[in-house]
Amino acid sequence: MTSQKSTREVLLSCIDDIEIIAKLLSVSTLLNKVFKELLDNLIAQKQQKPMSTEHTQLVELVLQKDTDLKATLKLAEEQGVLQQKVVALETEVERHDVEIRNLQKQLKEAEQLLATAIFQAKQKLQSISRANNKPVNSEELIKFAHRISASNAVCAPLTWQQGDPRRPYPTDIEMRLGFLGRLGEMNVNGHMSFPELLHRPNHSLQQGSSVPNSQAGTYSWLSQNDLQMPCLSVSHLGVSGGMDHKNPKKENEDVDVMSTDSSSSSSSDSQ
Amino acid sequence: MATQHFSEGDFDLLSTIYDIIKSVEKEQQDNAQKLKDSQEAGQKVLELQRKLDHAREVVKKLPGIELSKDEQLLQIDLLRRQLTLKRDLLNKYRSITSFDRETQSEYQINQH
Repeated sequence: MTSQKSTREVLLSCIDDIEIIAKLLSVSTLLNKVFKELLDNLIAQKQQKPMSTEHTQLVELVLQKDTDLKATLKLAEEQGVLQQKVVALETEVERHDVEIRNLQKQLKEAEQLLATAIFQAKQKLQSISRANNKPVNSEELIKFAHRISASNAVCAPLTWQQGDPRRPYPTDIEMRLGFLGRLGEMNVNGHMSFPELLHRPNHSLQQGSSVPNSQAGTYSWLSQNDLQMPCLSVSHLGVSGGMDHKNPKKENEDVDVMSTDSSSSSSSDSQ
Repeated sequence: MATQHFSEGDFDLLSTIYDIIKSVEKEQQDNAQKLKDSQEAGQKVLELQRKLDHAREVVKKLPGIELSKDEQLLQIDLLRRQLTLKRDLLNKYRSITSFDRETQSEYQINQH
């Protein structure tokens, strides 16, 4: 499509043309007058005709240009009215653009939220299927929870006061009474059977009647769990013996205690 | 007539041109009068120049004449089409139904 001249260019060119023609016309008129004055009828008449023809042509040209200018001005007026419509349409389009941008932003946010939710839901489904594939007995879970909370590491006992020797971590006395502490004893005393080593803390605790109540409370989880933990390690090692039949009994007692008493087993009130 | 950004006097150049020609064509015997006529002609020429400059200024300020009329009509047509498209797009997304079980089950059926 050939690019058309804009109306502004047409108007300006019309005005330029009128200016040039007006100048030519005034020059032509002046020359006409000069020739008329200076020369005689004969010579002047001979030259006057082309001058007057030229003059006439210039006059016609300026009139035509003026007509063109007026027509172009009318066109410009119509275009001015159309321009108002253009401005209104552009405003409306801009308003819609703003709304579309807002909508796009909201959709993007929604997509992000949904993607996050779907991802988390998929993860949950995966963990559910994993749990369904390897079910765990609820009693065992409670037992382990019991054992974990028995050491007071999760929460202090309700009766705990300042000065209470109980700590959320095993103290040095408890460590000495544990398996690692008695390993040293075993080495010192030479050869000692493993079951004997396991029986020992029972005797030492029973003999320790002078132990104050708070310390007894401290050792409460030892008395209940001390045999169980080595028993677990025993089962790992595959050692069989007379200990096995005692273990289920201890575990049953533990389970009975757990099922009847909902509070933590680390409390000293049981002692 | 719609709002005009110019008056007819802004582009009335012919009268000034006529005045110039008339003052140039005047035949005077008296030198003083001749001088006066030539001065008058000179003033008319200046006036014409001023009118031409004023006309150019008015043309530069006129709105909507950056394009030809055909191009302007084409621009209006394009803007109208753009507006229709954008309006339809917005209506489409505004009237979209939120998630519901019927469409969800239809989607699942189509997937299987």
